Amino acid sequence: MFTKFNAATDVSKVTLLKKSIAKKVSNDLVENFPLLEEVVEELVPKKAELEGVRLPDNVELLAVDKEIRFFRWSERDAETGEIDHYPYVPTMRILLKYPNILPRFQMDAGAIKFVLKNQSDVMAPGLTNEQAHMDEVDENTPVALFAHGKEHPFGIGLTIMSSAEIKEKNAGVAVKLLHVLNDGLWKMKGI
Amino acid sequence: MSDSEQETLIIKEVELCEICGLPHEYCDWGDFPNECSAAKEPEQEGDEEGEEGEKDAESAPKKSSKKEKVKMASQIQVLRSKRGSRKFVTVVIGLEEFGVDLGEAATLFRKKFACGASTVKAAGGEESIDIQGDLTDEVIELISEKFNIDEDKITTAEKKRPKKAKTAGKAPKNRSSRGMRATITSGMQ
Repeated sequence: MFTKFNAATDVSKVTLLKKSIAKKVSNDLVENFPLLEEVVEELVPKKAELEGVRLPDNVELLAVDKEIRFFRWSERDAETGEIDHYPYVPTMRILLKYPNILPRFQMDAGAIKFVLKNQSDVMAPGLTNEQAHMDEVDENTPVALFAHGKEHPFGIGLTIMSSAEIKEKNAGVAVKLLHVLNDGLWKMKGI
Repeated sequence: MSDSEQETLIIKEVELCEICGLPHEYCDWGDFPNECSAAKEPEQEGDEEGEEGEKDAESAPKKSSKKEKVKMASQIQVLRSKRGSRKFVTVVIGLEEFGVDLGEAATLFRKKFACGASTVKAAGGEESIDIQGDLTDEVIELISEKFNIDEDKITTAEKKRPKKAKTAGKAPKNRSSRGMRATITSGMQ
């Protein structure tokens, strides 16, 4: 999602959001990531200055006091034509600090190269071998990508199949890559 | 397996590498894998041996080469963006990485080209210089002359405006910001 993104040229608009949105955002976050409940007040303080940053391809970032903390994106439903907003997902900098807020998807060490360097999606075999581990999740769930032998997560993906399905099929793209270390969003320091 | 609600929140402070900005264990996949590993090794050795003469001799050349390489990697972008239907603005990005003070550079441009020039803060936290008028070629010449920067390191491009027509056409009929996918919430439990 942020492979080709360049903070200097691709930001189309930064808008100051209403203060009342903070409450809604924090409610949504707790609903989606229950573990964040303790620290949500820190992440999205009630009196903070919230800004929405519009990027190409219907991606939107949420900045709290000039620091980018969450991102979300929207897609148009092919059948009904309605626009679906996905929920806010924390950025890598937040995930590194709170590594277990998302379900854990651990892949074997050989897969890091492809995901981190080529920014490719995660294929099913990388998640099903002995070194790997998957929390049980449904499809369309944001997950934290870990690697065997590494302590910290290195990416955030969106499952395309449920974990059971990945095990059963064991082929094809299993997790769509959203955000990874060293991509355009990671390099974007603030607004 | 995913009894995430029973787990407690783990809070970690992750140290980031000073050179590539990634957590140390992922340096190998960063922008400067060689520099990162080079930076780690002499430090450890130097601490163990603790001899001043060797330390200076070793670390000094390595530091300078590191800087040079960073310079090699960075580039100056000179963009021409449109303003109105027949006016242009020249945008210079990345000058600060060559140790140039942006304010001074803007003043220089202002005097040389007799036009408006100012530093502009982009949304990414980076600063660029906006110069009024299409001055792409002149700017490149001036930069390379004044700041001793190789012309090879300067790239030019047309800056594309965000497509407005596209987003306007996609105006949502039913703007339900709570239109979360049910599967996402259920997946977390």
